[in-house]
Amino acid sequence: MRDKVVAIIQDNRPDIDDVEHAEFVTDGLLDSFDIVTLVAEFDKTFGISIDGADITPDNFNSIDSIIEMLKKNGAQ
Amino acid sequence: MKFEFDNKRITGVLTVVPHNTVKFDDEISNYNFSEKQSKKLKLIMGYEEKRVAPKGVCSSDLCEYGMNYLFDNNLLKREEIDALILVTQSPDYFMPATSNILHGKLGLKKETFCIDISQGCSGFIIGLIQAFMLLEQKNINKVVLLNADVLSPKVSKRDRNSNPLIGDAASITIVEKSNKNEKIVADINFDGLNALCLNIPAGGFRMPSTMETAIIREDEAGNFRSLDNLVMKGDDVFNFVLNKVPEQIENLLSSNGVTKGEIDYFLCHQPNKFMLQKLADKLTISYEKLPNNIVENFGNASGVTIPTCISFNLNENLLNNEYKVCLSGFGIGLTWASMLINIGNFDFCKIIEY
Amino acid sequence: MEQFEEKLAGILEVDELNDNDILEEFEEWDSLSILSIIALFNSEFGKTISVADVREAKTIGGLKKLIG
Repeated sequence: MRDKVVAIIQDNRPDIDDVEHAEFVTDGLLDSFDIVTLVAEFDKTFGISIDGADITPDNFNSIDSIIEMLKKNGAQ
Repeated sequence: MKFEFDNKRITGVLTVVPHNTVKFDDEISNYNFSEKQSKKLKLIMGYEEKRVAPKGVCSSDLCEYGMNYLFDNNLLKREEIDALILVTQSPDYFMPATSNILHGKLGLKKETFCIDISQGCSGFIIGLIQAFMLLEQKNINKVVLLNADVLSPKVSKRDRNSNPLIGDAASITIVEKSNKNEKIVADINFDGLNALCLNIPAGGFRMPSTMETAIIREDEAGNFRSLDNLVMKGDDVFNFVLNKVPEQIENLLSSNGVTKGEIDYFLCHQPNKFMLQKLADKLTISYEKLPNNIVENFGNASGVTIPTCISFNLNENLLNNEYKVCLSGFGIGLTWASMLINIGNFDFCKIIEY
Repeated sequence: MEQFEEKLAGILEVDELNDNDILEEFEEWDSLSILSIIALFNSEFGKTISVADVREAKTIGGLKKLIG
């Protein structure tokens, strides 16, 4: 799952260095439109629908928190 | 606040949209989206085209045009109008009320009760509640509910949170007494603590418009707007909607012994495609049952999106059929309102162009 | 069918129609033309179709198939 998530973020934002260790929201790397685009891609890739209530800056701040949120929403 | 009514029905809905169409692709250079991102956002958010009123055209102009259409086509008679409700947040003037101005323009009788209601996204449902309450009166048999907004002049063209989405429109809904003893139920909630999540900061009395307030400034996200422009805290509103609205709808259904299966359509305010798909997913209902196509076809004209959704998706089918629907409006205020009502056997259901 | 095609051409403001013509490519194609087509199906054939049906039809030929 980690590889897919990293790949999706890199594909959407090729300008972000070191996706693995970045703090996306704290460092102002991802804005709300990036998050919306990522949610749509994650939903499609993992065949899930991320709960709207989980679409918060905290859950998108790092690869780890994204993976945790995806697992919570049924991604495998 | 929970409301309950009976012996009332909607007998027609007419939506008026400006002929003038603005395409997302033509304004794309206003925003700092990459080309790849804008293509994706088009599909996700429903950015496509919106209807925008020409300069100088106000909400009352769209209303007047629609009303004259109904008069000219014998769908409504002036003498029958006992009350005129105008729900708008883009009035012609601070004073007098725009419904008074329309009263004059339309040549209505002096007994016609006129009132403006300043509400937006939940405005159709709040307007219906007001109409139903007026119809409790023995002297009031037919109410004209107008929902109209021409907010495009207040939106900064370089604000990607609002400009791709905001459109202009008006709707006319006829509400009458009925013999059918069908219960109408509604629930409306308010959160004034977060009132300024959707706001036009300057132009009222709190902060009058000046040369200062007109200065365009950049925000942290790279949007450019002045204090005279509409500002939407999109993230906060999104979270509010996904947290509060499903709960309100589920409670309304369960406390009235109605299942989701029995509802033919969930006709919601149309902020953008993404939010409505997430709402449908959260409620576990299909996108056919909860249409999300108004932003991509007409734009988001605040309180007018629900009647536009009715006119566009149900259209002529409402002349000869009846549907059990859940209406839901949410947003500015913050206000969120839902209503269960049967609609159908309309005298008219159309969209016309100004 | 001829009357239907004539009226359809009227809605789309063209002189003639071909089955392969793509709906979205007509100059006059917009959301109101969708509604006019729905109304046309209603009045000509007493048939109820939806906005989604019209969009999925994609071409003039696709619309004709909806007549059933």
